Amino acid sequence: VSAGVLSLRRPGTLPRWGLPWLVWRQHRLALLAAVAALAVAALVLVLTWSGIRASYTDLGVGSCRDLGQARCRVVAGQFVGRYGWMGQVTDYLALLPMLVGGLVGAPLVAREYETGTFRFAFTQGCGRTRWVVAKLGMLAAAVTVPALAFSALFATWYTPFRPLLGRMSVGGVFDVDGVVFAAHTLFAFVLGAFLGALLRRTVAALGATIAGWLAVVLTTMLFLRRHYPGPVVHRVAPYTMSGHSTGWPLARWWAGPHGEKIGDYQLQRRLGPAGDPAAWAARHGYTAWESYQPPGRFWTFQGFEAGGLVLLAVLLAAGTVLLVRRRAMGR
Amino acid sequence: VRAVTTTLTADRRFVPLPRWGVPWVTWRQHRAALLGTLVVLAGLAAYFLVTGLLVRSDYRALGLDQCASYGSGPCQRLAQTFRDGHQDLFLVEYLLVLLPGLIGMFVGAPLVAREYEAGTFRFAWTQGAGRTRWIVTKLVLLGAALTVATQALALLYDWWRAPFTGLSGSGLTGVVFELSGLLPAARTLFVFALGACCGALVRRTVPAMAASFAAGLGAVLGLEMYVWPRLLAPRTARITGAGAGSDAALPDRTGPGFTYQQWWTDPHGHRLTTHQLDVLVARLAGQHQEANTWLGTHGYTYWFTYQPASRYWAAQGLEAGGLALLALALCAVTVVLVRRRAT
Repeated sequence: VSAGVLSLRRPGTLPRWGLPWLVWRQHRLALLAAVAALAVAALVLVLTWSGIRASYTDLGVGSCRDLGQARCRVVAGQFVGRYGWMGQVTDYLALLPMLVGGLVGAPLVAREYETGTFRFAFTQGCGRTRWVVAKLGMLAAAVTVPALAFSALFATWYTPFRPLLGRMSVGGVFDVDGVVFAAHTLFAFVLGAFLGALLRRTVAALGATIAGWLAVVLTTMLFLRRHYPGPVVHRVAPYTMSGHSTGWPLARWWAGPHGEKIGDYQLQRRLGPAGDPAAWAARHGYTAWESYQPPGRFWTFQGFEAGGLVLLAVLLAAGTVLLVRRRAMGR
Repeated sequence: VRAVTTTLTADRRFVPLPRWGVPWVTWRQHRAALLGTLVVLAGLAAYFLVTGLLVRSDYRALGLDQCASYGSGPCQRLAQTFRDGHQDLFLVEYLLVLLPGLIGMFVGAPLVAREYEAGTFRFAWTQGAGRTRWIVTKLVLLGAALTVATQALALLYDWWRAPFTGLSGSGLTGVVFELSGLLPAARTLFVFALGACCGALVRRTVPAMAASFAAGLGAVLGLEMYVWPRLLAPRTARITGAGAGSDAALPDRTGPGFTYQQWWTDPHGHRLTTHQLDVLVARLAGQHQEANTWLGTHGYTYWFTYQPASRYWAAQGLEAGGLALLALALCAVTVVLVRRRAT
């Protein structure tokens, strides 16, 4: 009899769907909320879609080949002006990954520590390494795939605006289109899990995740992104639009005959309120220059940014696994 | 011995509670959240102070303080150069709009929810102070601290924004309206109360945080779109002639930008649908440089609704007062929920 009991206990293989079932049961609310947040954003796009398509057809924006042409300037101006408010919505859509990833990621390990349930969770048959790897892997996929789907929907929705505004410079569009949106979501999720394992308190981990995500994303957006490949520099006529309306204009300056550079703003300060920079530049042989990122580099930029973030996410995931493995079972 | 025991029991019943007991508990339990909020606000204040002083020195160096108007001539060019030179500074406004939601969510939602989740509410509510005093003290002290801190930052923001607001000449509208005056403090208080109420209802911290952020966002947007314009009806005005259809002809406005409406009527006074307008503009675009100018000079009228700039304080007072009242109601609901909850 005793041998029978032992043999019943010992070879017990783990149930095949044990871990996935556990992950779903523990995180279904967070996952459903994350998907619901993306669905509400998607609903805004779907509801505005027919109006945008109708205006696009009625105005004949699609038949415009050359935006320098007078007719095209008028209809494009009308079209973009009417839906200009969508630019603000796009700006805020870019922050969605922070909330979606953070709310799923931060409680992942932190909640187990906070409630003391980690003692139970880490001592099951599958072991804590497999536990944390399965959670990270499955939930990462569960937040990244809907984010990718949302980006695909956004790309379709944005198609009418693309030849007019491009995808490089308009606030938020670069961060919602392509693969960067999904990479931002993945990064927020793994950062949340890592900070949760480090701080061991849910609310503190969530606060730190939001702060850390904003720090990394704003630094890339403002300082790093423009240098992925160096910008194209070319000469322009003073005070004119560059003609690269779909690219990303970065800077304009005056260049002197001996290669010295000065910005319009600095020149105006030097000349005083009465001085006219353009007249001064013409008199002293200065020419106007501009640097910009051409629209064709969209996917190169997306690749750089998403690749960097995925790499960072992998490192943070490894850090999370390490923290969980090292954690003593005591207090 | 029996007499001593009796006196002890009698004494215990009349021992006054320590005067600063509940406030001390509030501070000890929420200092991390309060200090975190304070660090964020102090960082923003430092940013506004430093860049505000730099901007003011540039303003004087360009001679903008000697300009009478910024609509034409060299002053217009100077104003444009000044704005272009400081474009990057305004990114902070984009995040600042979300700050009330985040503060309310991080301080308000865990207030009751954490006690439920950890089971500590059984201990917290059976102390001498009683649960009603416990929850009321917490709501009042934390609400007051958040309101004072965010209002101080809003005052600093108003000072920081002043040089740019003067140049645009279009009044305090859009995001500037939402970040100035009384609104940031009122919104923070509102989302804080909403978070506390969600926490008392949901009884789990993270779901309560997510719910309070989503509900706060929905409530503020919904009220701005549908309720405040009903209570303070925007004026309707029209423009005919060459200036029709352009933003430049609109008078000084205030209020959040997305509540305005604009439309065209044809020479017979019928309102044009979007479809009719688009077809008309597409036909005109081939022949005329400015479709709007053509419409304005051919009997079409451009209509729009707006809040005049003179109503700035009325609009601010209405929204801030409304949100403060709602916050009060939510706090009352929270107190009732806590009182009714079985231990």
